[in-house]
Amino acid sequence: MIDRNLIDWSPKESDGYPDELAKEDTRDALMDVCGSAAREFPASFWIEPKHWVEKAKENDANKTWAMNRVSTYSNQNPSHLCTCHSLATNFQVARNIARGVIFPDGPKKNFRYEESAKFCEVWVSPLSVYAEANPQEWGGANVRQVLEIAVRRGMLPDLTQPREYGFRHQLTGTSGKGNMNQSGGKWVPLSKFPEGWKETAKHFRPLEVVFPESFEQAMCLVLNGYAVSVGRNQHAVPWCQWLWKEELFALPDSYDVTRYDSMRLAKTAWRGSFSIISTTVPDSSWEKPAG
Amino acid sequence: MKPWAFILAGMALALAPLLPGEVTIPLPGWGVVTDAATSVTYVMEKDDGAVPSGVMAGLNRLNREKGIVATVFEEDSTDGDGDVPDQYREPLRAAREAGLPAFVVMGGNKVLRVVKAPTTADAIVEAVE
Repeated sequence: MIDRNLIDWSPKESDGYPDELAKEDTRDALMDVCGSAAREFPASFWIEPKHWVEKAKENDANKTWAMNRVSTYSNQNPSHLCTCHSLATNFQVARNIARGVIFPDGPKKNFRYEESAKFCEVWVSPLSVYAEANPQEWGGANVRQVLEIAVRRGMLPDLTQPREYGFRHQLTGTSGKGNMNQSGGKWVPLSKFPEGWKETAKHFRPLEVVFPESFEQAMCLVLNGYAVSVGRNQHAVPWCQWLWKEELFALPDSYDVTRYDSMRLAKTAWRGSFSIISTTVPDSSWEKPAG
Repeated sequence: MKPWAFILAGMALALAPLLPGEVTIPLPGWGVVTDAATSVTYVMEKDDGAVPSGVMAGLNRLNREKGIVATVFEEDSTDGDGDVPDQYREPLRAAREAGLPAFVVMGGNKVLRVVKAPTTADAIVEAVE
């Protein structure tokens, strides 16, 4: 039984996605800033609504939801980084699909999967994008800003990683609290990024980003195993699973917890949403993510 | 490489197809040539469809149970420098030759098998056995 308090949750005050920023996130604007990485919804991804439950059951059986590509929660509290935390989760889902790894139970609080190290997962830093999107630290950033930055120059790896990769450049994951799998700490302005950081960040870029044109297309992306990042009620989150019995979208929220969006909310929240379909991949070996 | 090592390596390569079953031949200075699967890749183009759920389950099984590096490669993906990653050059070539999507089984740098458009976990696992 799902706690009603976890459904359609939003912060009392905006935690990074205020209405004045959200209104700029039209589909056309997002596609425009993504340039050559922007993709229309692939017709081949379409699933007729009458088959949604059947497809969901298949994902349940095989554990092939985006939620099964998420190994860990993140924790932005009390920062304003929600759009960047959602982006980072979306990115990590796409990268973990490429790596072929499934985390059977999805994220669990205060837990680290051995598979994260064994299968060379990389945790990226939401702060490495936000610091450029909003140099003022507080007030948030919209999806248009953070996607443009991630596509253009990539994200830095978090200081905390599941294994030692020998990265030359890393950054604090979030200026929020963080957790055992995400470093938290003080705000880092762009001017204090480690020298030469772009050489590492370029290895962690979204390559193809799909922008759904309807709620049904957003649903198909979730059913095909991708994360769909949405902004609603002044908070940005990644939908990672559809609970067909309860008719809820499950999302690993950036507060160390799984929350849920109702179909009623989802049918308005899909506007301005996106899914990262592919990312840069390592050149010679997954054990050397940045070459 | 010393001349004797070169000759030995050449002889080993020539005899390899005649040996039964799984063959691993150490080559001094050349790394290893093997007939056992070391990596597998499901090569796809998103416009042809998403990765089937069964394929993803099969890749996960190979990663976990067989210790094989089992991955997905989207045809247009690149490394951080915008190039086709070295590790996917050969799988991509083989898959394009067969037609996408295709499942490519590699033994070291050698293509061992290509399966066209598998959809189930069993098809993925059986392709390496």
